[in-house]
Amino acid sequence: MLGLECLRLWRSRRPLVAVFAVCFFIVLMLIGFYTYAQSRTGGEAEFRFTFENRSYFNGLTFTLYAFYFGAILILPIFAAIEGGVQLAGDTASGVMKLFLTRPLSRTRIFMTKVVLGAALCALLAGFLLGSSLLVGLLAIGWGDLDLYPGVLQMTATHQHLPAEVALRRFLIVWPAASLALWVPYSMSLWVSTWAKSPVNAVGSAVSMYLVMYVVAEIHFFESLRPWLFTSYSAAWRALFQEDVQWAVFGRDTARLAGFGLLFLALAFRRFRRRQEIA
Amino acid sequence: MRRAVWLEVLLFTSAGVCLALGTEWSLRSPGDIEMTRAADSALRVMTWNVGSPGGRGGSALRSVHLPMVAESIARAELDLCILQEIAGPAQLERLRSALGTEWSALISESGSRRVAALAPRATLERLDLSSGVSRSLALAFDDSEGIGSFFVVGLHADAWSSRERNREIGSLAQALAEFAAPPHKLLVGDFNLDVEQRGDLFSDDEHLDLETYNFVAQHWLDAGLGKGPSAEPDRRLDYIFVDPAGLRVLQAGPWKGQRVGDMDHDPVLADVRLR
Repeated sequence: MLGLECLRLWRSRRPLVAVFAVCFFIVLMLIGFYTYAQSRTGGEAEFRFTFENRSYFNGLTFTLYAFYFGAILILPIFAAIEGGVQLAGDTASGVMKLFLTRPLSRTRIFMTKVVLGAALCALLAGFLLGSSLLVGLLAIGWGDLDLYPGVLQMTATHQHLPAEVALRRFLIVWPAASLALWVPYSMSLWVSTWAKSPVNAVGSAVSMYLVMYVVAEIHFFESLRPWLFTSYSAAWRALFQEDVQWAVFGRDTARLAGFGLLFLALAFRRFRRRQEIA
Repeated sequence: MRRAVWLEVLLFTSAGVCLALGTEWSLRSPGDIEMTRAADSALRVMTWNVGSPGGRGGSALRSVHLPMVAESIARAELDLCILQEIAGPAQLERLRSALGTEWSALISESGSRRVAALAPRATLERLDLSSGVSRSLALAFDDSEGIGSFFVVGLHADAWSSRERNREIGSLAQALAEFAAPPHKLLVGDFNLDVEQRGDLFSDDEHLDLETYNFVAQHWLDAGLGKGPSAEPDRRLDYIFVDPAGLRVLQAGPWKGQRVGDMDHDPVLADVRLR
């Protein structure tokens, strides 16, 4: 059944749309990054006291910026879309009843979609990371990664990572970011078990994600942050420290996984109990 | 059917375990600074904006608040106190009288809201950095028979323009850095920028404030980093930067409970020692 689901996903063109969106995003980021770097370091730049210099604007800095915004804002939308379509789409089109009459167990159907979603999230995260690194290398060039307080809220003190160390950290970021993508997929899968129409499922899931993301970013809602999974979606930022706080990273990753498993449990509970009404 | 039930139980259990592992069970807060001196040989320095935010653009220290400010300064057992929003030399003299005439005092040279320095035992001598920053005070602190000698710059940066803050803070940091060490250096004051909280509601250019902060922080040690906000509403605006090559921070942070009336800044203290 996994092969069939992969084929159906491929034929739906949704992954291609996500890939195109990522490519378009990276092109825009490159244009913005390059023009910003030129304005800050070119001869016509207005003088000011700053940490931004030519060595700061390198391919690894570009990769970090592109991956950060792509992984937080772009890819979760596509993950939520896919989760919303998976069950509600099959229900609306009648494919779900076809599966159940074959017969295929609900457990098998559900777990196939979970595995497919996890694989898709990993592929999307890997594609974003790989293409950002490639574009950063070819278009901008290598250099060490410097992180400063306040920039992307990644560190409280200046961090300097040599290029080789930074690349190894990006490799670990891939599974961590894949997990962060899988959580909105699980949430939308849960929404999908309640919706009869994929449009409603996708719309609800995407809007829920955006509301939670915005609320988690506003400092008035500091007390709500532990209850919103979007607060932990960028837990991988902890990997870009000279001395990684593995306990903190592990704790935040566990919390993220807990949210994903909870959504999955709620989705499965609903899915195995509901009636497929003609 | 049974397999499905077990899978559901497994999923819920796994979720619970992961959420429990991901919970921070101990409530962490920066905590108040310990008022007991970290070491007798340490320099205890305080920066405090004693003005009030009310009216049009705020006001300098109100005369009615002066006795309470003097009491707080006396209780803190300071070696050096840098104050912002002092109305003028006459007000500084009244404050010095309230503290005791053994205190040395200096004040910045112009304006209606100035930066002042007070020290109970050391001598203070004005330094000329030619920085062109009006609300600043550069001084040499000399307690040679006690805790040592330091160059100190006190600053009250512009509250409204990030460009002005960048110019003021950057030029002072650069000018102070050009003095060869020893003596070692401190840069303290109300910088009016906040990089730890989301300060975009209060800054006309948050990224420029980041650049300003990092221009200083890449070479200086921020003593109050991670110690919590120092001003309303939940912003860290007051800083003590020390020269990390020669100075070690023993403890630092805001000193809560000292505000009087409608003041919106807490004093920030640091105990620093020569390495």
